[in-house]
Amino acid sequence: MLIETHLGRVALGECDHLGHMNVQFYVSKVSDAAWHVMASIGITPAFIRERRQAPAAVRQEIAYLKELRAGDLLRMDSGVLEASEKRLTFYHRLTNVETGQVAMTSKVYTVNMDLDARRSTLLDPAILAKARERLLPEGTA
Amino acid sequence: MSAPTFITGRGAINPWECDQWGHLNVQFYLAKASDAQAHLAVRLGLPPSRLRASGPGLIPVADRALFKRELRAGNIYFIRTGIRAVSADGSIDIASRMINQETGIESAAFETRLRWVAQDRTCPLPWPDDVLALAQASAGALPELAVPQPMAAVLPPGQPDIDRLLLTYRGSVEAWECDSAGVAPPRAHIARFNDAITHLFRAMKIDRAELFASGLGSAALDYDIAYHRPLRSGTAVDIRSGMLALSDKVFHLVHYVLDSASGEVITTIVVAALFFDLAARKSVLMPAAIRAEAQRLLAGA
Repeated sequence: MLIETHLGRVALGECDHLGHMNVQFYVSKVSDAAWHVMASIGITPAFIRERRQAPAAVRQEIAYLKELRAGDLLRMDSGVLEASEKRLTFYHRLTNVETGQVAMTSKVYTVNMDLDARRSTLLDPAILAKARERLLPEGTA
Repeated sequence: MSAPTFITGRGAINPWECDQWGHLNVQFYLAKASDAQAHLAVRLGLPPSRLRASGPGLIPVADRALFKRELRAGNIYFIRTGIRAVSADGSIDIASRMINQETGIESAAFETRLRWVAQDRTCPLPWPDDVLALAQASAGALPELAVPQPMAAVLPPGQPDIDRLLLTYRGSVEAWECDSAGVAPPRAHIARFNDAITHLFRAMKIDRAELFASGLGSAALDYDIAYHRPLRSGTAVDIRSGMLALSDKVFHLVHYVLDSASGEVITTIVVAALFFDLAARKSVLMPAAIRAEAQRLLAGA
């Protein structure tokens, strides 16, 4: 299931000398969206604080499909592509609100991390079950 | 009949947006509210492509921001916006609420007056007919976004006596803070007020590091802002500040952003603020020594 995970705007300060949003800010917006999609499967800010664990990105694939310019309005939709005992893969799709064109898609592969031991750890069974319940249909990415 | 509201913002709070008190700094609330307004503008027929192609522009002329609950790094939020009223004088009043998405608690309320202005970002123009029609069709009572009580009338009427106020900031407006028309958004005004308060505190013999070590922080509760003129890239600016009122906990102060060259007032902001316990995250009575200094400033202003 895709859910809305970011609504924002391209700032002039995020644009480079080519006149469009610099690549680093696509990743920044994926990062913000990630907290929302994680919360949708139970990895909420409180869960992270109390259980001291969260998915950490280990690999990311990005397709830059359309350029974005200062002032453009953005919407990110995100969901879970794959879920296993320690690993979650998230999918993010960034859309230009005005044109409806998809500007970027990204797959972020994560490993669940113990924030104190700084090592991988098993996902909470309830989180894993919820992630599996909400998996995106095959062929989404 | 109730007017519709729209989700106009969604995001997360990052550590680099938080200040020494451990919560989202005020300038980022306004930045996120400005982005939300741009999403509302699309519903008024003013998408980015039209605003880029058009000489006239959409600007805020007044903002009220009430900070109700802290947002901290890791929190997620959304913003809901509606149109309260379309006035005969050419302004549109909108209301936005920033909600902590995890708790459902309202973190901030924004009441903003927007105006359609000429390319100089100063001269008011009538709204384009289609924009006006869309705004009128969506305007009305917003029961889920209750109108806040007005701020206490602490600002004396008339022109300020600038020479009796403290110089609390001197700097310039840089291109990277501005939009493509070279005009700084509300965040840039607020960032400067944020700097000015540290200088005002210095005049009150408050050392921020000592305050922090004593377990206390300061927080804004309420901003009442009037944007009189555009804050343009390259402008040298001063801020003059003064104490307006004191109670046991809450103090009111005023900042004026001035064009250093002409002396014209660019922005006026009245702030209600207080001190709070950094561990309990609860407001406290103003410490006696700080109160004495605030009284001294109040008498001076």
